[in-house]
Amino acid sequence: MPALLIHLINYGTLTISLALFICALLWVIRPGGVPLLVRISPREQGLRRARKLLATGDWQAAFAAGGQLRNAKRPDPHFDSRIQNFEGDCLYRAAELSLQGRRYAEALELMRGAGDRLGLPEAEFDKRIAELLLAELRRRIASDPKADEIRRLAQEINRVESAHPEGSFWLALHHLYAGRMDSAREALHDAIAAARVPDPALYLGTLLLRQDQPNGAVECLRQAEDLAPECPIIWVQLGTALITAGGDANTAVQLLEKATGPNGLVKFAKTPNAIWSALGPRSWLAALARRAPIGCPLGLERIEESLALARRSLAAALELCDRSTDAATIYYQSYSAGDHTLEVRKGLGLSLSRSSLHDDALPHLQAAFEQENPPSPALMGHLALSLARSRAIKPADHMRHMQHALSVLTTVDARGDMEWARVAREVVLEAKKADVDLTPAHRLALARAFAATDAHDAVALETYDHLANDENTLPMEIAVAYVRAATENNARVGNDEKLFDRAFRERELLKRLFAEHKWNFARAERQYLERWVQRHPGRYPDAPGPLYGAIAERTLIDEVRRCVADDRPDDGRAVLDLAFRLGPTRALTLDLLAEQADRRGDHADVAQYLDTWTKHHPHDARPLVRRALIERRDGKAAEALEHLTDACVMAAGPQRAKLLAMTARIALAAQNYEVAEELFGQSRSLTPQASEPITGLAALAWQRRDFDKLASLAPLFNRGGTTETVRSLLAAASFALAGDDIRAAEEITIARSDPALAAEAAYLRAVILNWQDKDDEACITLDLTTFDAGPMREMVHALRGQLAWKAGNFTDALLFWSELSPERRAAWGLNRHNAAAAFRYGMAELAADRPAEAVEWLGQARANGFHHERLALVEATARQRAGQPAVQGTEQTRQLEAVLPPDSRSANTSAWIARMYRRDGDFESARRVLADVTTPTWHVAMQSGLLALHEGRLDDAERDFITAKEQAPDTIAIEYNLAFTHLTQGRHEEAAADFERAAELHPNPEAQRVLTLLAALCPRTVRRDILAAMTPVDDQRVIKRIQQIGRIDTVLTLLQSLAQARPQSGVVLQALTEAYVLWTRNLIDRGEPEVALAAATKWPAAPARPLGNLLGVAAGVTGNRDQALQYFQSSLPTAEDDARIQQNLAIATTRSGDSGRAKHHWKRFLVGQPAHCPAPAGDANYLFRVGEVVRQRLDDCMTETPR
Amino acid sequence: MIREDAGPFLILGIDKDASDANVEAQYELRKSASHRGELKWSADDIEWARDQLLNADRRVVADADSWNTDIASGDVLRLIRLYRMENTSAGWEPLDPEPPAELPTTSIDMDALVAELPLPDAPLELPAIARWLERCGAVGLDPWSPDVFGN
Repeated sequence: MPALLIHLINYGTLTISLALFICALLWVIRPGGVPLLVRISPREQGLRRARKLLATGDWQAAFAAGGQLRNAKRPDPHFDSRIQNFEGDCLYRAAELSLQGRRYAEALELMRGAGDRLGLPEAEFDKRIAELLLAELRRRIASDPKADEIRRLAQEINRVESAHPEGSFWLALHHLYAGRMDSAREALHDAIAAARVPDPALYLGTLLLRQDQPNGAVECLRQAEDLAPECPIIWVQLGTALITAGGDANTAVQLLEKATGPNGLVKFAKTPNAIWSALGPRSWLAALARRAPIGCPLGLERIEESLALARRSLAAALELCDRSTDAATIYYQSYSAGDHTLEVRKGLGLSLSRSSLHDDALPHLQAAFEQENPPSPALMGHLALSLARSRAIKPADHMRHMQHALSVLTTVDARGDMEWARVAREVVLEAKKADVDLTPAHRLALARAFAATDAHDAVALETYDHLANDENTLPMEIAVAYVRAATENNARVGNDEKLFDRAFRERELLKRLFAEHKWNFARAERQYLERWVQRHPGRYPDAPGPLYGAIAERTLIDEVRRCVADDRPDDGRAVLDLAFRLGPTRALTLDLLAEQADRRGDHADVAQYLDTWTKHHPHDARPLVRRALIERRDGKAAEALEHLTDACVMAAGPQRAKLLAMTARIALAAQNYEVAEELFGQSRSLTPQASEPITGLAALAWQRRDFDKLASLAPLFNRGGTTETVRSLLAAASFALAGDDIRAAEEITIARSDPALAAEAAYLRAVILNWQDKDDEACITLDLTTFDAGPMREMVHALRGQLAWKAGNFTDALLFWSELSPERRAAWGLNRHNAAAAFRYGMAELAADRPAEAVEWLGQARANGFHHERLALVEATARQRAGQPAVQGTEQTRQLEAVLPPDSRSANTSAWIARMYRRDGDFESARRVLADVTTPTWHVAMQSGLLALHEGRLDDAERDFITAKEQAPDTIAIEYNLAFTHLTQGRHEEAAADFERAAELHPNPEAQRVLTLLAALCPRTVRRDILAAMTPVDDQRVIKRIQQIGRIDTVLTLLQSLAQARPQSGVVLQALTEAYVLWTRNLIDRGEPEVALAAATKWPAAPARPLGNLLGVAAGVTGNRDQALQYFQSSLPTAEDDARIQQNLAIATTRSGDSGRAKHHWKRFLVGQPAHCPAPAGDANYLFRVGEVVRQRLDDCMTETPR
Repeated sequence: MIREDAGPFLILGIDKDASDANVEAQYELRKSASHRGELKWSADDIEWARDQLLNADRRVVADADSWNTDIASGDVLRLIRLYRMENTSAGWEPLDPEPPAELPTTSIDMDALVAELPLPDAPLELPAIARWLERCGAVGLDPWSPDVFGN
């Protein structure tokens, strides 16, 4: 076993060793492995040769050899990539050689080729090339800034990296050196893209400043200062730019003081090249200056020049800050430093002059005056001022100096120079102080210059005034300036009027000049007028010409109206007052005064102003018109027309025509149509082409249906001329009436084109066709038109009804007219026709056996006022056939009686007529008709009985009912009426029999029951068996019938019987109590109070309040006052009071002599009297007077000694 | 009975709010009733009562001295009306059948009736014309209108 194991181990070791050997061999002989067993290929050998060539420096031969190793037919990617890398190495080597030869573009191209082959980023090569180019560029700028190579290098940089800021900056410097300012500016604009470097901003700002673009310069230099806040060069340039641009002078002073201070430019006086370091660490110039000294094409590094510039700028800035003395000091520093330029001498002179150091200023100003060409107005002014104020001269020469000063002052055209104007005024004052007269030429020149500078102070005014004294031909511009100054300051001088007159002589020019300067011309003109009127009240200025009064008045009036419209009433009043003072009799002014007076309701003033107007302008119609319109407004139409008529007489031509038309309108408004027509006629004769008069004439003729007149107007209607379509309506009617159908149709067409008038035009067309008897066409026209609800539709219905009537179609006419309102039918006179049509229709319905419809139409005919002798008869016939009761009304009954005379009518017809009379309350006629009956029927007897019953003749009624009963024994109406008549008569037994009979005949069970109960109740021996079965409903029904009897004795008897039969019934007992009240009152009324008092003792219960009061009265009347007091006292209500009972108590106690109690009751009576006691209608003081009687008695009682 | 104790209102049988016309009418009725013996009051008493009431001054004195037959609530008057005792005629409603009238047949010449009527005129109140006249009468009539003179 161990041997086997050893054997196996040996065998395994051998196997593993063999396997490892094979693997190593395979690794060695693999492609690319250890080339021990591989032969070097020819291409590999070629590559090795090429590398050797490159190593010798012949990159071109190496590159070519490498390229030949590629086999296009059998490409080997692995080997090809090696070839590509090798080519990259060749090109890179070539680029290095080009850079060494400063062939940057070639180097860049070669490097980009190498990069492509080696897989390196292109930007890396660009950056490297740019850096190399910049380095070269900087070197050139430092050594030879004007070399053309700089431009080429800059172009190369821009080709590598477009818009390279530093490259552009160096190029800009090169351009500046070459004097190509525009190219430099462009390059600096490109360079300024480097936002964190101050150099481009400094140079661009400086360049712009020198090219007179101070605003742009300030912008750039501010940017530069932000980036390099400690750079004196920037301070100088920015300070100068600020002054030049009119910027913040204080800031400029601060900057320039720093620049000229010890830490400014002076610090670099000995090391000018070091000044670039002040531009900061990012500055390209500073970086370059650290390696080599550099110049500046703008001379910024020249410290002395910059310092001189800084001083001049500082002095100017100080002047701007009104620090003339400080400015003079600075200028003097410059001057002392040898800067004798015009700028310094002029500045020094001006500063000294402004500092009132005129003696010091004079030589500098004179020197500057000699150098400056032409001299500036400020220089001239200050020179003149220094001359005028110089004290260093002999007094004898002062006058000459003054003359010289004035000459100097006026030799220059200084118009518009404000400083000159200010200085000139001081010179003038000096001249005045020295009593030096200004020559006319001086004054004119001064005045013109003042005018041009809008000078309007006291000196200017005085100058203008002087000029006005001397000048016969005062220049307009002086006058304008004076007016402006005088208005602005509200000041005036001696020649104020002359100057104003001169200015306003050319008012339009003056107005234009004011407008150009945006001055207030209206205010100036008002000043003129105000000043004028103070000197010449009552008239407008003459100088501006004869028409000026009217122009100025119109202007003032317009201004007043503007003030009113702008809600500035006080201003308006002031202007109107001015107008009135200028022209107290002028029409426009008086007109407006009258208007304002009218608006504030001051009628007296209105009349006064209009009277004044009329007085001073007797031929002016306008005041009359105003007056008339006021009167018309106030409802005085007659006066208005009178005044307007007068105005028309005064007016002429078109104005008269218009006034006539206006008067006509007022007449129209006053509904004075005749006058309106007359006036329209006159107006038309004056202006035949005017539309309004002819339209007015036609409209008036139409409204009063004067068709002859309307037809006569046809020739006056011209074609066209107006857009008023209503005129076409009238023209159409006019032409139609004149027989010109074609023109009528044309005008209708025009009118129909107006949507607002289309319906009316169609209607008029239908009317015209109706006039022409073309009724079918008229109907078609109406049918084809839509008429809105309202007046027009009613007119159409009326016309359609008329057309139907005309065609004999009365039913349609009736239907159309029934659509109209009653008012319209009456207004258009259609009631008769409508009623006749209704009557005809009703007759037709009756003939067609439709009596109910006939009744309706006939009633409508009657209601619409249709009169026909047989209308009542026809209507009665229709009603009778329709089963309706006969018509009511005495007039109709009389008509019936008339058409049914006694000899032709039956007895029943007479009874029918008599019944109608009776029911209308005409008993006399009823009696007469019945009396004419010769052979009465039961109806006649019945009507006679009913008539007697109504007249209270119970016996006659009974007789007639009995007669009727004899003729018609089983008639319910007769039995019923007879029963109640007997009951009323107190004939109870007969009544009971009649009730029984009536109950048998009555068809209604309920009525039968009541009649049966009454029959049981009536007899002296009451039918208790029947009454015992009564129900509460029966109680109420029977009581209701009893209450209707109207005879208290009968009522009381029946209710007593009923109470005996129905002792438990509350309603019965209540009715009995009520009957006692009425019975008692009836007894008192008949003068039998003692009967009531006697009966009352038998009544079981205490009387109710009304009954107790009545019994009290009964006792009082009979003299039983204690009993009366008892009854009255018991009748008083438990709550509140009863004034009537209090009065009864007062009367009773008074008559008993108990005045104490009487007073008490009278007082309580007075308290409740107004509410409780009745008074006759129409006598409002009745109760008061009764109360007065009582109060008088009470007063008397108070004064009397009690009995 | 003494008439002064009763007073003129009771003698004439009228309320205190009776008008002069009522007084006169009631005077006539009472006189007749007295004549027929239906009243206890004499004609002189009735005459006296009338005189009292037709004189305004005497009436107010009489009112102050006269009894009230009704109370403040007017119950008595209400009952008089309920029981239909205001009039002399019966209070009950009689049956009143309409007699059967014999009415003749009526013939009317309708054409003649229509022919009597003239043909109605067509309405001519064109609103536009009335409006124009109204507007014309109102336009430009402000007294202070600037165009009042047609300027």
